[in-house]
Formats: sequence, structure tokens, C-alpha cells
Amino acid sequence: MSRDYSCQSFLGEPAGSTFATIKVGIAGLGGGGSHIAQQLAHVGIQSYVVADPDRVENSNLNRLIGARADDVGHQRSKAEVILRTIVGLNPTASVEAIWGPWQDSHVSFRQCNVIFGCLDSYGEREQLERFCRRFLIPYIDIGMDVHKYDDGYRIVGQVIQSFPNCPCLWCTGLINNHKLTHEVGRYGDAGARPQVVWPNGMLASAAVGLFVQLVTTWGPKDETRYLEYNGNDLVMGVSPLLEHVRSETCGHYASSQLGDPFFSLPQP
Amino acid sequence: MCSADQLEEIRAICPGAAPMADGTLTLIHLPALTIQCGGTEATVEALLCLSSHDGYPSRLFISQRLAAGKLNWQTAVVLGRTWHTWSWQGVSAGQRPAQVLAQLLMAFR
Amino acid sequence: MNTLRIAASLLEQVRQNLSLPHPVAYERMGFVHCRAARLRDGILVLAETYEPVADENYVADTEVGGRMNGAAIRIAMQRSLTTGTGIFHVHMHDWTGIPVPSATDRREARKFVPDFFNVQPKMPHGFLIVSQDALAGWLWGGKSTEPAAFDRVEIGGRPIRILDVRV
Repeated sequence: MSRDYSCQSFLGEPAGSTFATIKVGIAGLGGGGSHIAQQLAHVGIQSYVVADPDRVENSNLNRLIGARADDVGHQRSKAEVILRTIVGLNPTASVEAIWGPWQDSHVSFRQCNVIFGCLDSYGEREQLERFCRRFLIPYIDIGMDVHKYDDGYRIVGQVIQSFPNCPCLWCTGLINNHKLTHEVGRYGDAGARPQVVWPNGMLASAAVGLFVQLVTTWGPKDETRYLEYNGNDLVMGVSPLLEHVRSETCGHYASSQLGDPFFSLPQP
Repeated sequence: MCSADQLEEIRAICPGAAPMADGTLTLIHLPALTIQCGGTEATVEALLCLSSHDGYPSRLFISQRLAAGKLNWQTAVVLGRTWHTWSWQGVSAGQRPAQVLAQLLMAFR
Repeated sequence: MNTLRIAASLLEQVRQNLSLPHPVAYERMGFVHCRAARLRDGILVLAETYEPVADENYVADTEVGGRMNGAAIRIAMQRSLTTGTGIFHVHMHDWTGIPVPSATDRREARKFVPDFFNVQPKMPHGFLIVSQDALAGWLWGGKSTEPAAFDRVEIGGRPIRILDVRV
């Protein structure tokens, strides 16, 4: 049975061929990454590189899209669950499902045309964006947190599109040395981070929407996109920080920092 | 940044050392660094990071993990390649690079 | 699968320059300087900068659309030597569709591309052809190797375009 994408025809005629040929990377297959993978499979993306080092655990089942209760007993990896989700919708999809950190298979990620970062730390995000800049790959980052205040808990999140030669995560302030240092200082004290399914769904859906706008003729074509999510008021909107960075030139990545600086053809 | 005489100091330890950069990271590439580790000698390719990385003020990335006590190893992609590093705090990047390198290598003693 | 990846802004810079008229040459040309990385099954070439052949470095020739002199090639080779980049000669076929190199294009490229390895043996070199709406090219993986076509060209704009350009 071949898929019927007629409901997506408003995306423009080249979308069909683009969805068939574009390669998408997803680093992190937890609450956010699993949502993204499922949605991309629905949209019709045919080629994936996905990576996560973890197995499915009981505590993941509250948010891991595509996971089943028996995955825990069978000690299945999250990568295996995502593979099952994607090919269940697209039997002909090519999925390189890596049970391990994305760093161990970075050569595969070089081939991606867009990479989604669904990672747990600022350090990991910085590293993945730096990789994407080196290989001219647009990067879409999502993240959510639950903060405790005197009057209760607040859910917050963000989706940021980082485009080569345009403002980066450092420019937007999502990454800074204070956060990275503070993160290292908290190592070992983190415990289980609060995570729930519906904010992940909101953020993942926005990220997939940005992706579709990036690869089809539909929708706005701004290079840098920064959406903030207020999970208590259930509101997603453009970050006011975006106006401060949109017109700036990114000074964090030199244009000559492309490719593998140690690359060498075999010498006779 | 590394001055010419500081670079020469590093080159005395590791010939061929050369400055490089990856995003906000200031690096010195060490093509063949010899590390004394557990009574044996290992020669690895390395990157000395003289700017803050992932919350650490300085860092040494090497091409392979070494059997050295109970280091908390991590894998990192720098310059588009996989390297290995470990948690080792408190080595200020404000010193001469050769001093930074020496202090980071204390992890293997 | 050998892949070329280029920012849409850089490609537009190339097109605009190649579209300019020239008093002597029918066709303009230039050089795209590139970086590289290995893929699982080929080479990824990343376009970094474009350097047009200067006006004074064209030679009148009635047999080809445009001919550059030795100085143009030496400038490209000097840049490759100092920056460590691969050199891809580029010219334009001013119509739509995926460009196909003519017999003249292939013959002429074989004359000068292998010499690029004399200054930069570690990097791939080759040539590109730009059309009004697409891009294709060949790369050499060594001085004495046979050139291979890019299997895939990726243009990083909004929207991203992927071209299957096996020629």
C-alpha cells in the first residue's frame, strides 16, 4: 500500500520529492524526540538517522511516544522503539537507529539535511549545534523544564531554529557559560527531571512545523526562529528575545570552520 | 589565545602543535602527545582546550580512552570528530598553556 | 555517495557574478573553494567561498565560451595552498534544469583540474556547472583518478533543495 499524501498538497508540489529524499537526524529519543519521530513519519519523511543511548524504563512510559509496556520487560532500546514507530507508518523508510550517543555515530549525522536536538543538557546542545554549523546543517532544538517556585510548579519550554550563518543558540542566550558551569556543578544532584507528555507534544509539534516550513514552499522563511512555551497558561509565542538577535550577525562561528579539518584523500 | 612563545613551549612537549578553533573553543592540536599512565606510556592525538568547554575552564581531549584509575570519561565531538575527555575541574585557562596541559595530565598519575 | 552542500546565499552570489557581461568572454567563470569530510559511503564537499576570475584574466577565444589565463589558475591555486581548501571551477549554463557538462566542458576540465593536486593533494578538486535553477558537478579524488559526478547536491536555503544530479 502506497501512502496517500493528498491532504498535504497545500505544502506545494516539490514537498513530495523533498520528503522522499531529505535525510533527518534526531539526537535524543525521549519525550521530545519520540514525538518528533512519530510526526515526521506521519508527514512522510523517508530517511532518518536517530540516536539515543538509553533503554525504555518504566518511568519513561508517561511520555515516550510509541513505547509499550512490554518494552520495559524486553529491555528494548529507545532507538528500537522509534524504528518500530517509523517503519510502522512507512515500511519503506530508511532508518539508521543507533543505540548509543549521537557522538558515537557522528559520521552518519553528517549526512543529515536537518537535525533535531532533543537533549537533556546545555552542554549537549552546544556540542550538537557546533557540529551542525561545521557541516552546514540547520538545527532545531527543543527543550522543556519544570521549575519550582513558592507558588507552585511552572512548565516552560522553547523551540529554536538555528540556521547556518545566522544567529545561534549563544546569540539567543539559550547557551551561555554561566549555564554550562552551573550544569557541571549540579552533576550528580540532578535526580529525575520532571517530564510530562503534553508540553513535549506542543514543543515537538512546533518543531516539526518549523521543519516543514524549512523544507517546503509553505510558510514564513525566516532563518532564525525562537518560540517560547508557557506550560501553565498553555501559550506558545515568539520569544521577545528574537527581535534583539534577528538582525545581528553571528560572531560565534567563523565561516572557515567547515568540514573535517583533518580530512585527507588517500595519498599515493 | 596562545602567544608565539607559549606555542613554542607546547611544541617543545609536542612537536607539530598548532592552534585551531571550533566555534567558541580555542584549541591547540597536539598530533602526538605521550602520556605516562599506570606505568606505561601511551601516545595519543590530543586537543588542548584553552577556553571554557561544557562548564570546565580548560580541557584535554584525546583520541582514545586510557586505563587510568576511575576517571569519569565522556565522549565529545570537537572539530567534527570524536574525542574522549574526563571530568577534571579547577585548571584555569589563564595560565601558560604548558602549565594547563601539565595540570590536566595529572589525572593520569 | 559523493555530496555537494552549498548555502543558497553563496550559490546566488555565484549566479549573480556569472551573469555579468564581459567585454571579451561570452561566459564568465570562477572558483568555489571547499572543505571536505568523509561520509559512510563517499565524500561530503562543503562550499566555503566563491572567487570570480578577474576581468583582466580572461582571454579572447572564438572556440569556447570563455577562457581564463594562467594567472587566474595560479591565484586559485595560491588561495587553495594558503587556506587548505579544494578548488572547484565553476561556470554557468544559462538555462533551466540540471546542467550536463558538454564534451568541451569535460575536455577542458581534464586539462587543469589535476594540476590542483600539485598544491593541495589532500583535498578533492573538480568543476561545477550552475544553471538558472540547479547545480551539478564532478570531483576528482586524486590527481590520477577518474572524475566522478556528485550524486547529490544540497542547496541550503529556505526551502532546502535536494537535487539528484547524477550526470
